[in-house]
Amino acid sequence: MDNIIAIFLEEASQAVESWEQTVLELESNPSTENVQLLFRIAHNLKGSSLSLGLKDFGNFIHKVEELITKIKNGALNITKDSISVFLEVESALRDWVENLPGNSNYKPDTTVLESRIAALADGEDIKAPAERAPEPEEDEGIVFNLEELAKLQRASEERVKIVEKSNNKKGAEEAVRVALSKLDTLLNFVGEVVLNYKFMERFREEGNLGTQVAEAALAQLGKAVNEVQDVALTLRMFPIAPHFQKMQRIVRDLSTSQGKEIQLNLVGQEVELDKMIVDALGDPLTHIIRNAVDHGIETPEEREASGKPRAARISLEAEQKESHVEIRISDDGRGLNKERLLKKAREKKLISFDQKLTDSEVHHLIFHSGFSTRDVVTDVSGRGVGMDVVKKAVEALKGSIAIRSEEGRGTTFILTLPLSLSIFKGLVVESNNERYVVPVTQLKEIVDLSRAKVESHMGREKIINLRGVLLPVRSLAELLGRRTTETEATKDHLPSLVTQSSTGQKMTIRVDRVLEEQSVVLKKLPHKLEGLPGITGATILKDGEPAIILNLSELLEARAAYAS
Amino acid sequence: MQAEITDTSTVNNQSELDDRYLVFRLGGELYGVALDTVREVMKRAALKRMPFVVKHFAGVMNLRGQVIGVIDLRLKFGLPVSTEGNELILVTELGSGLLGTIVDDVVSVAQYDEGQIDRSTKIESKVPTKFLKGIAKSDDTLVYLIDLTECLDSEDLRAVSAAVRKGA
Repeated sequence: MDNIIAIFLEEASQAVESWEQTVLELESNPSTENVQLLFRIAHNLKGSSLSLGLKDFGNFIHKVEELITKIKNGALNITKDSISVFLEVESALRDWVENLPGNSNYKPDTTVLESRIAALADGEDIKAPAERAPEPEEDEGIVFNLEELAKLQRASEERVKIVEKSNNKKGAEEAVRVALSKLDTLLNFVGEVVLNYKFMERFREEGNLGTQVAEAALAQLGKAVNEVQDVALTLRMFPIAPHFQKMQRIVRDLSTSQGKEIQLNLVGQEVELDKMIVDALGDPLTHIIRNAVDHGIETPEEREASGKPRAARISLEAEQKESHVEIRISDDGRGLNKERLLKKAREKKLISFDQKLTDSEVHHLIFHSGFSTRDVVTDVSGRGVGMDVVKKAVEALKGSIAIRSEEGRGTTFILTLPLSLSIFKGLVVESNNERYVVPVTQLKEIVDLSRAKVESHMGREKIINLRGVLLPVRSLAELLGRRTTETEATKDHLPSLVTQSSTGQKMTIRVDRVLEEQSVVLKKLPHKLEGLPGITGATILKDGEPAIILNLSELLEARAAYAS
Repeated sequence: MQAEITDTSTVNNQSELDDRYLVFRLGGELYGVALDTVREVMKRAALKRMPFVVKHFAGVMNLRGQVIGVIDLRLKFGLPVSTEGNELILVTELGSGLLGTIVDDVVSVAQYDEGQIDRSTKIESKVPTKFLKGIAKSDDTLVYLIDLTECLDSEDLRAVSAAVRKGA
């Protein structure tokens, strides 16, 4: 693949994104600016593709450009049909751009689309083929609904893409576009570091290390180094906006095809996350939203009957908290049906018949693999792609997911994600004379066992009563398969970390000491050690010693599996 | 005997590298590894033990900001554990990255031509034949030439059953 073509394709993908955004805006606001914008995108794409010899691509865009020109000149109005056509163009372009790298002669079949474009341009009133009475030919038995076909094709492509994406990640060098201002700031700070370092060198030469002046210079150097680190990390951070906006299209398509009225609210689009996280969030977010539309939102009639406004509201919010980002997807739909979930779980033998679960635990059942409350699989939610896939994806990003739901009122999914994959706030704890790090996003609170009531349960497991809720207590040393230095006497006075296991149940984990909270830089474990349960990586503590970074809920799960 | 270890990256003649070996002592025997896999030799530093790993994985260490794993070859070969505490760590670069190996002492860099190497498969030694590339004879000494990639890189260091492992 030619380098130039690779660059063109990158710009083309950006163009396709802008195209979609602009078309959606055009739908709600058919202003001249938006038409102009659309024209410019098409025009630029046409120009670059033709100049690179991509004739088919260029010619296709040319036809689209002609249509836009007619609209620009006022010869044509923007109609629902033209918007639909533009969106189909976007799909075709997206497909094209994705497949060109693999096959430089790739050309999707755009004949039908092109004829619709031509028809529109000629001022013909084109309705979606389904609404036009087909003229049956003698030997034709089946009439195709092209829109349905396109949708089905897209849905199956998405599924294939999910698999392909994970295969494609390795190999090709990924690149990102970075704001120049960020780079300039970084270079500035690097300059400061170099300057301060030279000062230190001079101090050393003159034998003046340790003097007050030298100490001051060292402090400056430290500050400059921190600034470099901060900015360097932001180079990988990108706003979540594009993904949020993708959801608009998805909600629009889904609500149209299901006859539901849905309004999507986006909040906090400017919140930035590490690029890898942002990219990996696309699929889980899409899945949650699809789930919400498919299962959660009622038809307008149902809503009216229950006193709700016809149009359902889904809100997608991102909020930056101190050391992490919270993404909330809430709808005002049906909410989760506890009875149905319990019934399904019992049927699938996930829980025993007399097992008592809190509301939260019932809700978290949907994260269990093999759990799908719709036995009739629609192509919208995908075959067998359950919420457990979403949970795994979120946890792979070192985040966590929780649900809050109220029957009849709605459901909220809360995703908690670290700001960056490589640096995060961690709590350093000590167990059995070894130090470990736990990311703070996993901790609900820290409890001093000597203050909480420790009870014995079945003689073996310890339980504490934390504000009325009974929580099991496990020892970290034991979870890690280590001998413990705890004695019967000390056991009940140790600090404990309260975390939430993957089943939504809170648990407490005893450690010997809680040392401090510090910013931790994630280091990958030696390759051969990847996949150890409960261990996400390593880091180097302030004193130069390596420490293991734990994933408590994973550790608990693994231990449970081990025991069984 | 401590030998001077040259930085292997300064050697630019590939064919020279091919038959050069780093010879080290382990449990009273001499072993040799291809020189081009050795990155550096260092004094044994504090190792951080890891849970859920095989016995001969001694732990991880901080190598200038990188976390690398270290294997105790004695344990791997079934030799008794060393109690001396002044061993060295060979840092080697294998397919999957850097890996450290604890050895008793590094002896020399030696060059053997094919004639000196006995590659017959009927050699008996503590080293499983899978790892043994051959035995080099020099003067009166025998040096077991081992394939580090086969020895260290090809195995699974995790002591956890597949069912418990992440992602399974």
